[in-house]
Amino acid sequence: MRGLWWGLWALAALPGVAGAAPARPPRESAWLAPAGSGSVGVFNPLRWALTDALTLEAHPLAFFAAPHVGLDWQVAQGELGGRAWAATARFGLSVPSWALRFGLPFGARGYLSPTCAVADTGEARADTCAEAGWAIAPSVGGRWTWGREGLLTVDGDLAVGLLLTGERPASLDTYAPLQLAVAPLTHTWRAHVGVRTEHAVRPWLRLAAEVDLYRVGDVGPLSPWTVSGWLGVDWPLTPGFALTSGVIWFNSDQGAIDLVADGGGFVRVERVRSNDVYPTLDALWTW
Amino acid sequence: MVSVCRLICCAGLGLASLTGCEPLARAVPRGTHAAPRFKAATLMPAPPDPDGLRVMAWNIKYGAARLPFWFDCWGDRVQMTRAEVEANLAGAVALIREADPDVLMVEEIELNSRRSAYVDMVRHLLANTDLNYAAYFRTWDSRYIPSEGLGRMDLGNAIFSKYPIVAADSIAQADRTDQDLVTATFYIHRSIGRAVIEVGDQPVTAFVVHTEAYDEDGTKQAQIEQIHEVVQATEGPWLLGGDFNELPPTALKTQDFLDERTEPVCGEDFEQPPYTPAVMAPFFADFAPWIELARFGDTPAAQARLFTHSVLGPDEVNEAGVAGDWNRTLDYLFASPGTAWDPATTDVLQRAGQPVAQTGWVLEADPLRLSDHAPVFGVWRLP
Repeated sequence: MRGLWWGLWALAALPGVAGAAPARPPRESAWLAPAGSGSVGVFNPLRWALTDALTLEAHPLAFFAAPHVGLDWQVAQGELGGRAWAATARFGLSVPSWALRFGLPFGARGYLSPTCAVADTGEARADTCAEAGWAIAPSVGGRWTWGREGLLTVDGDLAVGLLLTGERPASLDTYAPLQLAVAPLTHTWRAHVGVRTEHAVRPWLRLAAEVDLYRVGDVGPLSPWTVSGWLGVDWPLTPGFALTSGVIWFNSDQGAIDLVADGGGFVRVERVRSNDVYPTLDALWTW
Repeated sequence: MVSVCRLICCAGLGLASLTGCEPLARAVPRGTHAAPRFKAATLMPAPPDPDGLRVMAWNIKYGAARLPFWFDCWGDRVQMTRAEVEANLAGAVALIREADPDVLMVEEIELNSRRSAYVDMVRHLLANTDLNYAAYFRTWDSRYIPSEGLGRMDLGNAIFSKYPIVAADSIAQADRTDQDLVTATFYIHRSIGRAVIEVGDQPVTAFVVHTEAYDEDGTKQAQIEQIHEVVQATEGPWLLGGDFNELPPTALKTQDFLDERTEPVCGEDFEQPPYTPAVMAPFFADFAPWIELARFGDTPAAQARLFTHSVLGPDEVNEAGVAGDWNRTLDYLFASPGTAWDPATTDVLQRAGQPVAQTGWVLEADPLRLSDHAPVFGVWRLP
């Protein structure tokens, strides 16, 4: 796996056809793209600038599994310490129960949630199926970015899962990205703060680093805190096309244990947090 | 912010190329490997120099008592609350305290599973019974099982003892070959649990087993044959207990049990393949069974008295409206050849109010409501 990291790094670091590409507007910042422009990736979201101050965001792939939409509204710009800054208010709405209620290809019922096969027979049974109820999760937050080429971005948001029908499903207790995605449904709410820095090292190369802290509502025995860190590069190959790559790390409580020595050859159970590292690799189109 | 979109993408990409410290599912090592041993925080006094050992084997259904899980096909349960698990374990503990075994073999015990609210059942039984030592034989260790939202699984078998367990190891059993790669990755890896117990100055080897239930490729038969080979090759006195998922060789009824659905509801994965009772015959012929085959009888009523299993609980009914009750024998105790059980003590603990063999003990706990298996019990005379 280490070879993959080096391979990705080498790919990103190569100079080449991208040398002539113009500077790109920084992603994941309070600076919004001009009206009419947009971007989309395989894994990165579709962003479409309605006006110079309003940008819509949704993910084409994830939309059908977990319908959602986000809106960034740039509310202020200014200057501090000789560098420009911008601030956006961020609003979102998602339907996190979708994936738990529908089977493939639009959801993961049967994989992440019960199929309720016995309940579907209509038999009168004492124990009922724990099917996820319908819920929506509005979110609100803000983002402040200082600088245009060398950026420092601070942001935070809160998403709350409002149950419309049925029961709130149990926590998935699984990999952090998935756990956090459905947390407003399973844990009632999810709060986040993050800090990101991004620098244009060359016209064809941007480096970024990010640290995020998440807290979800108290449900079950596992810790509600998750920390993540991300390192990444953008490598614009043409004015309208870029490759992005990086590495993201999550530290979360997924219920893992270790068996530790307890003297005399005996052991005891000790709870530990899980660390996961994932590659992030994407192609990004802009217009 | 690492957007929710990117989080979802990470999940998609990351699950395919995960590099975390903990694997998706841990394969049980092939061959033989050491098993973890546990000791109670407070040691209870054990009878010194006993003439016999009170021995019990019990599949406790991971503390689920009679909650109908989805693979039972009589319910949709996937997960329990901590309160449910603790209440169910309290019933199990009451039965164990009543039986007061010196050696207890437990199948389907969990150390850290999402479905049982991450309750450490080994520690729970050590803390709430007079048993002092335990060895845990992990058979199912998956970080997240993407089936019905089952999640993290840490299930196994265990041997508990009032006397010191001085060594323990797991002997790998054959895996199923009739599953696709993904299913096989997340599936159980059966093993024979072996513990050496020091009873005074007498070492006794104890085995616990739980063989395959749903295979169509002869895996269970191969596992049972391996168990026979392993215990037969063991030197010194030994005890074997567990859920063999197989009928006794003289079973009169071998199919169409009252707890089986006539119409498949939860897929083919949990359909009962045909039993092969003959594979159990060598155990009765070569070893000391806690109950001789003759005692199983040749009438349905006689055999019913020794049934140990029912998927359907007494408070549920099948499609014909018949309430669940013990309907087949799958659990056994055996001991090394040349040793003996006290026949006046050996029994299946089936229901409250039952006289246990000829001991004068009348069972207070109700095993029918504590698990989908009944405990098998007896006093084994130490050689």
